[in-house]
Amino acid sequence: MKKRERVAAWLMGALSWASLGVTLIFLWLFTHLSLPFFARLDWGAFFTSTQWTPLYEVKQFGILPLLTGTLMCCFIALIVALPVGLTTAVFLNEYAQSWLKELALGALHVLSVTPSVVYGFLALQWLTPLLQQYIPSLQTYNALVPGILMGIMILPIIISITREAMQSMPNSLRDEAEAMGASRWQIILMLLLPYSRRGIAAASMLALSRALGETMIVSIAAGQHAGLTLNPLEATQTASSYILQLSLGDVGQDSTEYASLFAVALSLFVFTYLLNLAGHRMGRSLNHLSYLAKEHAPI
Amino acid sequence: MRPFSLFEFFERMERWVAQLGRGGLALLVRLMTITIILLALAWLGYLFWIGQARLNTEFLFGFNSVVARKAGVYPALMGSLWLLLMVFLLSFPPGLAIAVHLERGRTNRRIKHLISLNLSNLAGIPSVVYGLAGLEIFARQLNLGVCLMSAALTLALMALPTVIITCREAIRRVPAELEDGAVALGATPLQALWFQTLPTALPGILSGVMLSISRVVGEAAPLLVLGAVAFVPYAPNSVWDYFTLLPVQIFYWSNQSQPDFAPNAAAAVVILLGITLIFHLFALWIRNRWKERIHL
Repeated sequence: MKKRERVAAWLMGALSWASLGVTLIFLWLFTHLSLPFFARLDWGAFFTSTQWTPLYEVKQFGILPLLTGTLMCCFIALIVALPVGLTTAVFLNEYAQSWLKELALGALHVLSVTPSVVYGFLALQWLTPLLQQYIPSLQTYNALVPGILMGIMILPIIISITREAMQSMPNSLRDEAEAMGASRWQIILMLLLPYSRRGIAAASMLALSRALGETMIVSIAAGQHAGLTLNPLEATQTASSYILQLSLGDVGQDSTEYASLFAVALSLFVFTYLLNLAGHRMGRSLNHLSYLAKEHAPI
Repeated sequence: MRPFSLFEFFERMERWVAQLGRGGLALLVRLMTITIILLALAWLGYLFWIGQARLNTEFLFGFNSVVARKAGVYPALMGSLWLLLMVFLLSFPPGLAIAVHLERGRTNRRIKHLISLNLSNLAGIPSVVYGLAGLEIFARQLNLGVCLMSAALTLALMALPTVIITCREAIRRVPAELEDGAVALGATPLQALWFQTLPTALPGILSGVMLSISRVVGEAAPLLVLGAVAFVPYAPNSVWDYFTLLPVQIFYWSNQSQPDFAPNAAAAVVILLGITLIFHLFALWIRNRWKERIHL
């Protein structure tokens, strides 16, 4: 090999290694900058206090409200997305005529390219007023509507990965089942879904990690106050929308709030990283790359 | 007449319920899909309907204003287009290099697997986290401040994993025989790559990169964290300029308490969606033409 070629190959290798460095730099950065927060933290109150009020006169750092808010929104999103996503994937795989399939894939494409701020706008301006006519106790800012829209947002991910898993089922299995006299629904319920369970699990994990990190929808439509509530009709706050709220305000660089920003970011980073790791491990039996490409540029 | 059999009765009931259930489930499955289609159409219709009053050239070329009727999106539009170009220039070369290395490089398989696993996990990290890291690394440590450059670097970092994944997909589709043939005729591996594989893969690579970048430019959260605000009275002239963007503008307009700003936000959404969709259709067109060529 010529020298020039060796240099090029070396450079490409170095860049690849640098991508590992990004993870380490992120970890180091967030740990380093959140140390002041953990150093000043009252650990007892952190786990038991029901208040998360970093911007108030009396600052309290209880993780519970933020945690319940985040989990509640993600939970609603999954409740919406999983049944709809699974049934749609089954329909597209088993039933749909080709024109309907094309149309549905087009619609899913539109959903998947829609920026999340647009979902936020639709949540606040469209769905909340719409639902308020039927649920009078629904507040202007609530957890329900962002949760539903988050569910719609993660639909394309769930559908495309689940379909990928369903398509990987060999036709011979289906033929055998049909030869044994299985009906269409028996094939779906007892063969197709069990066969693609890993893909479904992978899809839910990747979708969950997307929902965990979703910021704009909750920031716009869920409100800004982290109260300890499990009522989805009330305002709430998630970890990611807390980061955004604090970044938009005036926060001194050596204050506890500023450090808390990085503590929250660190936990988000670690959680989503682990969820993705688990998801990709689940889905590793599928064709790894095309499956990943589907996750990010679905359909 | 046959004697009444409870067993047979139950069996018949069971079959009847099962049949009803099957029909119902099949219907449900259809309804879900059709709901999704209708939902997507309803949204687009709703946005057009709300925003139509503001969809004119005045809005497109006007500057922001506290009066909703006079406000325009020109600086935001320009900011978004600048960013689109910059993110492309910043993320494409390193992304392609890493993709080539992972697909054709001579490194241990385990290490490659580790790198690609890390990349796919990085692709799932929330955008706010990238924004915060970008704020600290680019704006503060490298002292770039809040400008188009630090925004583009942050977004490029965010787009990189997806760019790499799509580039790998495109390179992988090129048959290896092409390269083998070139090597057999005396080309060095890098020449074979540069003159055979990459030109063949280029349309696929470009369309993949365009898809991933247009997605990233719709992000508002990392840029809001980085410090973008809605009120910038000029369009950017250089990469060191202060900036505003369509998603940021939409965020501020939809958060306004005055209802006057909702049409503005909807109109801006239509413009943003328009840009994204045009970009996407163009990318898909390239990809389809390329697929036809590759199968030949």
